[in-house]
Amino acid sequence: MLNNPKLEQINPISINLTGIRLLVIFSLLLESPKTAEEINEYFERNNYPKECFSVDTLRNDMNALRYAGCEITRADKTNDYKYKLLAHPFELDIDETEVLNLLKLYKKAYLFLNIPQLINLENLFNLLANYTKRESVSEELKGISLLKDIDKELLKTLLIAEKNKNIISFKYKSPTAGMLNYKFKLCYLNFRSEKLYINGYNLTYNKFSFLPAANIIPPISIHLEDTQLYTTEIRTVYELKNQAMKNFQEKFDEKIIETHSDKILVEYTAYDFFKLNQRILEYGPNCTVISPESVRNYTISTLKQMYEVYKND
Amino acid sequence: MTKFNNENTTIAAYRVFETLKFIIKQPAGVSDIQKYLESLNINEGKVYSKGVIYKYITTIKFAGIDVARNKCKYEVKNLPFKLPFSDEDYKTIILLEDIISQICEKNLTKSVKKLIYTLKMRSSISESKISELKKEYKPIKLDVPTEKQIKIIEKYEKFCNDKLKLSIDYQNIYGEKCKLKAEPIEVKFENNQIYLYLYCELTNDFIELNSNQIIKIIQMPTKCSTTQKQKLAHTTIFKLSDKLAKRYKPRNNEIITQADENIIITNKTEAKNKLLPRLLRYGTFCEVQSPKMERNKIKEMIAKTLSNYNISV
Repeated sequence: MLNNPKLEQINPISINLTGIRLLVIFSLLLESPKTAEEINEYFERNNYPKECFSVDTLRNDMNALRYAGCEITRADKTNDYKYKLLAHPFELDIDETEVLNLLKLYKKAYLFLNIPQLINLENLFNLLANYTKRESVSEELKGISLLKDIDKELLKTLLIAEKNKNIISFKYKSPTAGMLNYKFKLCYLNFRSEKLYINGYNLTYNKFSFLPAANIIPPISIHLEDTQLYTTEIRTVYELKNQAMKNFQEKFDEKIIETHSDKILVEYTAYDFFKLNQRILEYGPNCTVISPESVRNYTISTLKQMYEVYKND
Repeated sequence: MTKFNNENTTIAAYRVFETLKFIIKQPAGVSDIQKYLESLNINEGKVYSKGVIYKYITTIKFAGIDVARNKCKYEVKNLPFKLPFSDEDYKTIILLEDIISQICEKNLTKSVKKLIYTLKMRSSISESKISELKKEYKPIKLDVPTEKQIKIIEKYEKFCNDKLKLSIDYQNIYGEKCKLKAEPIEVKFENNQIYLYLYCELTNDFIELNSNQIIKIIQMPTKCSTTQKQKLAHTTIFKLSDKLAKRYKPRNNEIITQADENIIITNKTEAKNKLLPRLLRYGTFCEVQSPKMERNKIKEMIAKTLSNYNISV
């Protein structure tokens, strides 16, 4: 453990002699269990400036270590008269608050990191989980990464396909329909509700769609051919007010087209009706769909159905 | 831990060991170490001079532990108990430091900084390799608060640290002015917005207010009465059906209590004013089951949204 302190050079005025002895004993026990004789021999060999210690002195040293948080067995017949270090206070000890704050930090930053950086973070958390002494903390550390359920080789292949906008085929475990085979032109990967999705054109159904990456069963095949896409864009305009207006931030698919003192008009370009409907509903009473008529009517009909559930309360 | 007994312990050596334990947890100045040693219950009023502390530090250094002085504080630079960090792991630690440097919620960064300190001292990577990795590292850019926002965050963090109840005037999602008495818990900076997470003892609710919703905050002379464990908001129970029931992954604070074709989810700690818009997003696939108060709230939200389309229910 220690970098061979030169015991013969000890100056007892500037250094605490018993302190050195304790640290050396601790380091010897870290290597392996030792008898009192073996510890004494080490000090003699290294010219420690004191006569050899009595068993009582060593026992006192062991007590000092125990009191400082080390767990050391008694040296008796059952263990060949060896002191054995079972635990010590310098083990990596991450507490619950630190993990919680690490999780919060991760959640604040993950959208700004690329996938390889997120994989590296997961690897680091797993390493710490293996070395930290608290079991509950270890489990929590392993649970931080949002990529934990996704095969890492598959992720690497998805990144290549995303970069080259390739067509890929894969088996997909659908929560509703079981195992399916999909052919998919991958446009981009992104996170939604803290889950990683692949977004693109589903050639099996000829429509734009998004799928959670965790449900893709590796391996995936990358096709070198390309295809013409026939996507249908849904351009929707809605009005936002109150908190929805104050908190609004433009995104690549959601832009302000008109600003008033009490409301804004926003145009949202969607390829997927489900996503569009969710976005509108989340704004709640602070959102009114202006156009197209089809989306407006669909929103009204959804709201009416939702109200039915509560109307008799 | 072993019970301390002055007569069977090498007491000065024990104090050297405790000094090492203390500076491993965080960088510490001489006075911090003095206070720490004086706080140990072995002392019975004993005071330690600066000279004694210097002697202990010299002893630790002599034992081969790399202790450096930085801004009047002693830091353990290199601990002999190593973790097998790879270059990528160390780069990830640099990444974490970069993230921390851009986050202004001090309560959050303080504990992660402490964790990083303990990790760095366990790294077996050489100084020259570390400077190489630092050169290779490409900084990331998170959303950084403006100076005005930093002042607000600092003010809110002070509220949280002071642990005094707050009286708040704010605008609810409908833009109506409301009043609230609540206990501050945490400040969050997300998507360029500042949020104050609160607990309202009167309604047993967690609530998260955007700083732009808050009109006025007054710190009251009453101490927060509930501890973190006592802050038990009433539970919201909601049912998800169809596709969503099969796809849904419970959040950190949620438990699935019944799972067949539909799932029943129990949510305890999510701020209600954030939870309800999220549940609205799930449209016809979601029903709030209890409490009654929340069923009424979601019913009201749907009705108000329908009124945007001149439909009264």
